[in-house]
Amino acid sequence: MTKAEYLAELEKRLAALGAEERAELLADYAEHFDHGLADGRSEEEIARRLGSPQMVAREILYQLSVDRAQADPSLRRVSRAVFAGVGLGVVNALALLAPFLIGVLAAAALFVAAVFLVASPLLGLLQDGLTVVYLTELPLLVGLAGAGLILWAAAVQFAARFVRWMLARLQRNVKSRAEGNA
Amino acid sequence: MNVQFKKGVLELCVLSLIARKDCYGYELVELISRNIEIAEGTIYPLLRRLTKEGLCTTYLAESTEGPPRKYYRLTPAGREVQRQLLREWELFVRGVQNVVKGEETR
Repeated sequence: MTKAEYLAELEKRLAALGAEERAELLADYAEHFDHGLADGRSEEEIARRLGSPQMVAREILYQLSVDRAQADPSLRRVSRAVFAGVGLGVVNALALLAPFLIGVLAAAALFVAAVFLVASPLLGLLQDGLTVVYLTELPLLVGLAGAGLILWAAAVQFAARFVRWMLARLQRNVKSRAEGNA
Repeated sequence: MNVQFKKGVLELCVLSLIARKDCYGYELVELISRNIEIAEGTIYPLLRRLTKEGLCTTYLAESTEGPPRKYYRLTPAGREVQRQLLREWELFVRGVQNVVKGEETR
């Protein structure tokens, strides 16, 4: 791969970056080629030692997605960062995906349970109709609905904590895989 | 060399090199890849992150031979992180040696 091909491929794959940041990084790689050439290396050799532009771009985009998740720690941003990290190899995929899926499923289960509890007076009404049995059960059902509200609040807390925890994990992951190309 | 050993150590290597003197990117890559096998292209994203985190700053300098150079200089915050990482690394190495050589653990 020549210098021009390498830089063109890298530029194409870094389309998600801001124009200024992309230009800065491309300048770094262009400079690297120039120094290598001045050192008597061929463009092919320099490109080979850099590692494929695909791999380099994946690494940069992962870092970017974690930066963005840090600036705006929403579930959507964090999910994106997780999936950018999963593309970097099997070890990384396991380190990120397993805790992410467990956390998301646990949060979803809490929210679903909360919704069912809150809706229980209504569900009881649908099941029994407005009968004496229903009316005698009503205090219990209202109690369940109250418990549902508490569970909902707990689920919100859990989800917020999980997103923060996952973000911290992503940040550590970005640092520890600086070497890349695993 | 085992990939697991290298994980995370690159940051310590880069910070330690620029702690000694300001370096430009290609120089850093050369100094490191002479000793450790790396995909050289991953140094630049690392340098970008260290700069963003305020651990180093950059400046351009013309050179009489070859293209202009983008130098990296360690900040006081960077020095602090370098010391911390070095302490952790030394503890880790000592711990592994104790285990591997079967010496008394602390």
